[in-house]
Amino acid sequence: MRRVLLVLLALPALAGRAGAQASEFGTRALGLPVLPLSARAQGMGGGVALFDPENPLNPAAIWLTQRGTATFAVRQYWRTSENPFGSASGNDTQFPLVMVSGPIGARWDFGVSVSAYTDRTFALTLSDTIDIRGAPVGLSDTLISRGGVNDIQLAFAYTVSRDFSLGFGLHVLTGTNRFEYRRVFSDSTYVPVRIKNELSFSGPGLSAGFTAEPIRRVRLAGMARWDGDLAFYKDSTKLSDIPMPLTFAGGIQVAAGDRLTLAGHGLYRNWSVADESIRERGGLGADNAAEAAFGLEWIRNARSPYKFPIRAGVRYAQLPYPVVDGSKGKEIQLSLGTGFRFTSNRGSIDLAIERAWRDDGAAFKEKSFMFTFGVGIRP
Amino acid sequence: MSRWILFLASVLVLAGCEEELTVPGQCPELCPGGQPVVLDTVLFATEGGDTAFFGYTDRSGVSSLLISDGLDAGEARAWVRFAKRSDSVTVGGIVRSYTVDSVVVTVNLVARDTLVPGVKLILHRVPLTWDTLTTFAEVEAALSPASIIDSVTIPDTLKSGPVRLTIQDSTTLANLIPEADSGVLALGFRVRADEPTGIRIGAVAGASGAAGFATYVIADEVTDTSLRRQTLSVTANENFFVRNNDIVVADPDLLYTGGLPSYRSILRFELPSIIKDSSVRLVRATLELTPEIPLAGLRGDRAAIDVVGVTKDLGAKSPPAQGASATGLIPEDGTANPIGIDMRTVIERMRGPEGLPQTILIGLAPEGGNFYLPVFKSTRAAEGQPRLRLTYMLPSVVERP
Repeated sequence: MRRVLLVLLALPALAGRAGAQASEFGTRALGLPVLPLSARAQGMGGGVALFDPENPLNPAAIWLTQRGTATFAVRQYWRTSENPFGSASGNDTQFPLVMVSGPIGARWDFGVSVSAYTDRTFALTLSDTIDIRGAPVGLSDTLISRGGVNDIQLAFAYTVSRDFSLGFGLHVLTGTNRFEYRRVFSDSTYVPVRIKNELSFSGPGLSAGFTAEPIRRVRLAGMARWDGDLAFYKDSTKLSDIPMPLTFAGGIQVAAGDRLTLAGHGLYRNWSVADESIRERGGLGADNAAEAAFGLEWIRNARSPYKFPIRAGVRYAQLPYPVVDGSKGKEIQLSLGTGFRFTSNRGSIDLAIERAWRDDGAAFKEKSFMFTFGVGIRP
Repeated sequence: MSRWILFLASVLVLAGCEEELTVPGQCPELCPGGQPVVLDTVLFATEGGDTAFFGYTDRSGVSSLLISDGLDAGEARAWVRFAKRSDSVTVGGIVRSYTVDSVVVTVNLVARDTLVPGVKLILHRVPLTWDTLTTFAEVEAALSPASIIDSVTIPDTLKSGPVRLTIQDSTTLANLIPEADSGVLALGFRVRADEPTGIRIGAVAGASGAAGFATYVIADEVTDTSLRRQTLSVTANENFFVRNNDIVVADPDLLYTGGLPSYRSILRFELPSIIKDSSVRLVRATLELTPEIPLAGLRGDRAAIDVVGVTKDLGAKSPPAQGASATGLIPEDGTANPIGIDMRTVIERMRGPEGLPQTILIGLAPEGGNFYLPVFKSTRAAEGQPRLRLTYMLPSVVERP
């Protein structure tokens, strides 16, 4: 328990590290929404996210935590971006989720997590020629943005009966977005420029959810989340509040026999509540976004369910922030995963590989390959 | 199993060590906040706030001696006076008289026009009474054919370094230092070439070494051949140069730099508030000065205009600020067009609440021995007033979502 507490204390320090998934689809507004998924859920396309106790999406899901558990996921991300201005390949590392959970009584469980909520990590390079002092001068600009909004959640789940649990979550949305604009002129008599700015965010949130097993082997889950206005600061000066969306999600998990589990969910966020606010500040607005995920887990050996099960999944999501005016982005992911436990189930490793495609229906496209590595410790 | 885990973790960590976030883009389509705007503004010096002052490097501080022939930059002649040469040598503790065998005069060439071949340095015997107030006319008159001692052709391949003239002719040696001069030699220099040119040679106060004068003698009544030959060496202890276009009476409506005693000019500006805004990035600041007369110098001997910020505006005696200086090379084409000196570093020091005064001093570098005599128009001129061209960049509006 003491080790769990230590991990708990370390969580705030990790808050600033969550996120980092460079994408041209993360350049607008708050960036690219990120679903907080464990490596196991990632391997199932996110389909199991409302049921898996190592995911913070549904606060009621932690009722299945049997002992204190600390989980950590790290993801390596390779992508190729295409847009009307060219194409480029890149890679980066993200830390999508850190979570500690465990029972605190006969019917109560708790969970603390730090996860990425939106990600605004990208670097744009562009070249241009402008007239300065009556002569054309070439420019090479690089705009680097790092960071995004992180979600710190304190969740409690109450086991109403062996078939039904309720969960409540308190959220703090926080994070920073560090911008660096570099400009180099082709004429060296103009000095290169480096401008740094930092945007920071903070806002409250509440969530509630349930899991139920109305029919044997069939579980249902649902959650709703309210987030208050996100206060938006530039270099410590408050600029405005951005309304945050309501989140609704519902899912179903079916144990199809002893070795196959199927799970899926649908999720909806009314991001458009921020449309007016974003447009007022000169942005391109926001649209509501829905997503659906489905996955399966096939246990190869019923006696050793944690020994290299095979997971697969698919996820479709709409993106809320148009990259260019009038565009509507979407992403599709295919996943494969596995994992194992060791030292009497006290440690676990989960692995997932994903292939994702994003596009805005027009000229902006992105293909990515992700590898997620999750570690669980149950002291 | 644990090794496998370690391997996987290592692969992940190593893969994560490098990140490449870049995607191609174009503003304003992709850039949040759009593309930072570059603006340009011209700021004239405060009217009446510009003045020329002289006396910064005085005549005794001349760093090199100018000698020219037919240059657009003006005619220049130089002279040196050596320390007294001893009239005896001491050999084996005994003072002996001597017989002069030969003499070597050495001058250190500092700069020349390497495109002019066959430059001949002509040495004249000149009066010992000359000082820094001796005029060009007096020197010119004294450097007549009758006073020529000898001459030496500067090797065409020599860009800088010692130039030696050896005198072995007995008549010349006998007349080199008349008895009335008590062992003191004074030499005047002029140059000749097939086309207009000039040279700079080292001076007493300069870093390149003053002229030297070595006398090789044979001590009288010494039979030991290894001790008979002695050398008496002296260096110049006085020197100066004169030119036919010195600033005699300065025009108060012009800005002077250089000369001896040297001139510097003060200029004052009032920076607009946008430039003082710390969020604005200054990408270039150019001081534009319009020459009153063409900027003439010696080809290949570059000179520059120095711009220095001041810690306090005390007029002529404004103390220079550390790290607030800029330099602009003077074009070699004898231009009368405005010249630009990039002085962003100086303007940067003027920005912000604790900024330096918006005052600068301009001067010539090197000062105190330079063919250039730049004279610029002031704020009193009808056109071509000194001005500052500022190019700056407004910050990107990153808060635009």
